[in-house]
Amino acid sequence: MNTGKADPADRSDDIAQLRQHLAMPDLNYQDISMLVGVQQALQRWPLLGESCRASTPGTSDAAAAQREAVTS
Amino acid sequence: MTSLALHGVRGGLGRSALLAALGYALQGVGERVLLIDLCPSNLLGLHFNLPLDTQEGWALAERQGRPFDDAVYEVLPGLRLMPFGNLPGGVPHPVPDAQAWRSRLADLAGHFDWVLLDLPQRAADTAGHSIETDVRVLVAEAEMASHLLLGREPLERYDMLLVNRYDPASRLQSDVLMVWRDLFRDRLPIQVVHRDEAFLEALACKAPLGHYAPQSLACRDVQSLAVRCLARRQP
Repeated sequence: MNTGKADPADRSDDIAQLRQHLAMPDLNYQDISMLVGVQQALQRWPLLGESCRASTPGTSDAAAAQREAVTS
Repeated sequence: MTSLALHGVRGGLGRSALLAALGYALQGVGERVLLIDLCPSNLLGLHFNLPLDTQEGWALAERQGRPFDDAVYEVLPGLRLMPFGNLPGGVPHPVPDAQAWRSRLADLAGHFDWVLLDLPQRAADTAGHSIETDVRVLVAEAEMASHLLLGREPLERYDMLLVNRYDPASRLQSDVLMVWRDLFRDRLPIQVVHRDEAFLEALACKAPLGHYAPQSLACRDVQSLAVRCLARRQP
């Protein structure tokens, strides 16, 4: 059983390889499908959405702003 | 020697079974492992075929004024286990003394590659929680109670988040896991262990997961966890 294909974490290796192949270590990659998926998850489950708006560690603020930008 | 403990964001997350499976996986790659049961429920030994009526353990030895390591069982070559022990009824369960255990772990250092601690689910700020280990793994399930309690954890204290009993067919679980991957990106590596009936069956057969169901998906997850732990092995 291969459950890895849908796992976003597995794709990070692909990105690392791409950065290496292009010799662009600072290449800024945005995983759009994951950002959209997260946004949909926060809308689908109200408590999840509420908690992610309430807890405001710096990174999630930035991520939330990115998500809004992606979906608007 | 490297010490490791699994910390739960809440109780009932299957940490004892995970720890037994991890100990078995590390032993399987040639590591010398000691498992210590610090839970008064005294269940860890049952994962390794100790008789249900086993009385011996470190807490009983301590109470009787004997050395704490009086009762260590070699359950497999290279894999030893120290039960909590069965205290007489009515005797209050001792909270593991962090300072005493620090010194005990230092004494054990030369004899083992790994010491794995099965910690009791803590009440906030109890001494048992403050036993320091080299590797600290935070265990959760991809559900809302874990999600909310995770928000109260000082994540910088942990080396890894272990998502146990993960069912990829569950929309909620896959959503929560995706949100965690996003939230904890670059901060906390995530290891998934899939939900597997074999975990429950293994205890019913008094065996660790890797012995009972070596081909199971959860067993392979635990082997991945063991590999990640090996990468954190102390010199």
